[in-house]
Amino acid sequence: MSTVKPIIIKDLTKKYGDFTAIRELSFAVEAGEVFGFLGPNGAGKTTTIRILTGLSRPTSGICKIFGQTIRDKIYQHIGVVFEENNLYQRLSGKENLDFFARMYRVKEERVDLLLERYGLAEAASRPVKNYSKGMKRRLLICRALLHEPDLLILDEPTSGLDPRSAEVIREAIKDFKRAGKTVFLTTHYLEEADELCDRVAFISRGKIAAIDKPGVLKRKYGQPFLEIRIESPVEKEEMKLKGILSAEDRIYRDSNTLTIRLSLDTQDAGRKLDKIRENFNVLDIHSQEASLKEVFKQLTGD
Amino acid sequence: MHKLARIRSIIIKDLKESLKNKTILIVVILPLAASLLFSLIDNSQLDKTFNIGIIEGETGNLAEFISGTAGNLQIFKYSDINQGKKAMENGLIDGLIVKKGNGKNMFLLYLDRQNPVNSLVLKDTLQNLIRVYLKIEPAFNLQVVLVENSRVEFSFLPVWITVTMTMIGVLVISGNLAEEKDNRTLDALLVSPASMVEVLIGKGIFGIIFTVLTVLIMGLLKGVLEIGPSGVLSLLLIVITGSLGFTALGLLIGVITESQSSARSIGTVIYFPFLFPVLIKDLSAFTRQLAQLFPTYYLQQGLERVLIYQGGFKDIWFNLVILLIFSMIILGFALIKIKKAMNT
Repeated sequence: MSTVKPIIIKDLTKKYGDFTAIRELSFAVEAGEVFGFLGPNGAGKTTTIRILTGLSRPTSGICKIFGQTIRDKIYQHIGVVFEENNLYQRLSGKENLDFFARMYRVKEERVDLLLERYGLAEAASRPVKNYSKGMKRRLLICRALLHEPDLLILDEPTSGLDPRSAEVIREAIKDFKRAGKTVFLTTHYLEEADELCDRVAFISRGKIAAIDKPGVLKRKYGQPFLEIRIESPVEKEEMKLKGILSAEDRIYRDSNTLTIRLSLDTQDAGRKLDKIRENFNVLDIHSQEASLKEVFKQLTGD
Repeated sequence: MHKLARIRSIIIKDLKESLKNKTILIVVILPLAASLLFSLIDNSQLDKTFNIGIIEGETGNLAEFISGTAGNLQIFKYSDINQGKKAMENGLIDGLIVKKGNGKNMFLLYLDRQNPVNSLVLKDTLQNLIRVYLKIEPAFNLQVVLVENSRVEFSFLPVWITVTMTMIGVLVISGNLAEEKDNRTLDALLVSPASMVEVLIGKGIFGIIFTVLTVLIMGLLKGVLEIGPSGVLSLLLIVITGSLGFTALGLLIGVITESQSSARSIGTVIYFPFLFPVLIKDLSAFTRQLAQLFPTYYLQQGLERVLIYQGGFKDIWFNLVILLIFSMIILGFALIKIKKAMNT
């Protein structure tokens, strides 16, 4: 299993009538990496996940998981956490896991182990409808990990969670990667993608806009900048400051200070910095790398 | 082997869930409660005492004669005919006996037409009593013996209640499948080793088990199961064959509907076109022919033969064949729709 690429997608297209949800999508996910699949709402992320998990058929193109087409029996090797909390609400947490354990022919001890590991042992006999959102998400992770899959497919796993619960999920992803396994992740939280992903793909209007390591994409598409904090100038001086800066630069006002975000993408950045130093009382200067958020804006226009 | 184990797990999961689902419990408990309530009403009908008015003075000892002869006739005396008629209008008495003209043996009997069966019974009873009172030959003595077949437990009520309960699969399964689609738990199931076919087989069997259990509970509560082992076997045969078709219909509704609410609405509404033609089948030759186009007719006829006339397999085999054909047609439709849904 490990020598074969966990996911290979080639020229994948999905149409719903006249609407094309994804268009000739091609990419591969390497074994052992956390792969981020990012894009705005309606970009085609969920459609891709539905095809990946065999819930939907592509109009054309190839989609292989561990070298097998989706309709083959690949389910023992994938664990899926959907965007929705799709649990049996009237059953208890343990009953939910027991049911899927029987589906995968997994021993009951594994259920108890996961419930314990994700802090759900005490609530195991309570109906899921009484669980908090964080508990439901943790239970979904338990369900996805029940049969010890080689590939974890996660659709917005931390969406709407409190920081503590989100951290538990992020740790689970890191643990999974540490075990040499592969994660396919979609998320709206670009900081999270930056923290977790080895590579990310940006999808926009059903097409891959860019795919690479987060650092490479930030250098390629983002604008590095200097953050200069100065003492708040009087009105006349502020007019002078605006004369120094150009359209791509930004000013953020605080109570007693002004923060200038000076773009390093232009050739006269050095000249501008000198002028600011000459005319204003500079408190501190930081150089900043572009964030994935900026790459996202640049690539998707959102 | 693994497939069977997975199907079994789906059945157990659905049974567990249904026991915690208030909507399903209401769907089951309502006909059960209605069945028990109706049987109480029906039993009281059997012991009904009729109130008969008599105009005092004109009728001699007739009032005392009737009171002494017929135990279930209670006599009320009125001073004049108008008072008696008023009591009848107000529903206080079911019949009124009035002496007519000056003739010695001339009586007029007023009967409340509101309940035709009661008025028929009263007409015969009072006519015979008056004949005996007047010593008009031939007086006869009619003794009515209630045979066991006519016990209310085996009457038309349990038949109809069993018909509606056999159809319960339409409601339960359509709602169950639509809920799995709505809550996306079906997605979770389909990314497990379970296939759509296994899920549907599991749900279908769950529907049949659920229906049979409900019918058996109703049977136990109402004493219907006293029809003996072969009767129970015939009852189970017809209930299982009938519920197969209606469960398939539930699956079909669950597959084609977009949401749980629309599935439940269609599931509820579909009861009427299936039940109504059979309810009115005795109105005319046309309504009978119309009813014969519906599987519910063969279900009701089969149940009637088993529950009322205590028939066996030889009496219901034709009904079983028709119900099986209906089930196969609906299952075929359901499979075509499911295949179509899976290809999108």
